[in-house]
Amino acid sequence: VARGDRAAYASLYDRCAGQVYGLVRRVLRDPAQSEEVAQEVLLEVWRSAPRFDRGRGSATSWILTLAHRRAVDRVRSEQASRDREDVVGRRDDATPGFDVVAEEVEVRLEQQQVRSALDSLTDLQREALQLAYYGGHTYREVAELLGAPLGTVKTRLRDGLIRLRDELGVAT
Amino acid sequence: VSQDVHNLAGAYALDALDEVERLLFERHLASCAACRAEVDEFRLTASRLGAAVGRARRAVDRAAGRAGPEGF
Repeated sequence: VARGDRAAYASLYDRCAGQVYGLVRRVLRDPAQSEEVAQEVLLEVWRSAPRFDRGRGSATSWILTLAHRRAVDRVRSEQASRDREDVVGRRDDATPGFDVVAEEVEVRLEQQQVRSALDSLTDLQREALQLAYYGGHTYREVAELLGAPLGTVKTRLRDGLIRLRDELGVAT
Repeated sequence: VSQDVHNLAGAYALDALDEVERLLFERHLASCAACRAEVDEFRLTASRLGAAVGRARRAVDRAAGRAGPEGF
């Protein structure tokens, strides 16, 4: 894709479109908005591929990072206009949502690894991470939802990620 | 720089900072190699959480008969 090669993009699209949409819908929940955002993400991938820096991780990781960022941007802009009235109601949606579709072996393996890594966290680390990542909440909202001090949530998000990173064997 | 700023690396990598704090932290990142390295690892870690959600099939792909989750 880095050279703008159409065939490479088609293959990347086929591999990533479902994952991008799955993650965006996990955060946004509204199918129509998720379609829009997923489409924007895939276009952005196409346009910025020449700037893709291999040293910063795999293409999939980079694309999912972008997808999460765009989904969260949409959540925040929606919430700005909706006055966040249902912030507490979103708490139920902090679970990873591993059941989007019946998945092939490779994805099920990834899910098992992530689930087991999440199980190694303390309850507060896990809940804070899930509300922030899957729920698209700011850490301030997470603190409010969990009734925990801001500083504690900040620290738990960081040490939770350190634990997950080590459990998953992530290295740059 | 206080320890408090470094502590924001987790929230930053999860896109969990508000706009003002995000800009402040990015300014800090420009001058802190340790935080840049940590953020890179955290982003990779967070994307594993994202990958674990799995694929969902978009309506537009279903309509076009494109490979969706069932086809992967």
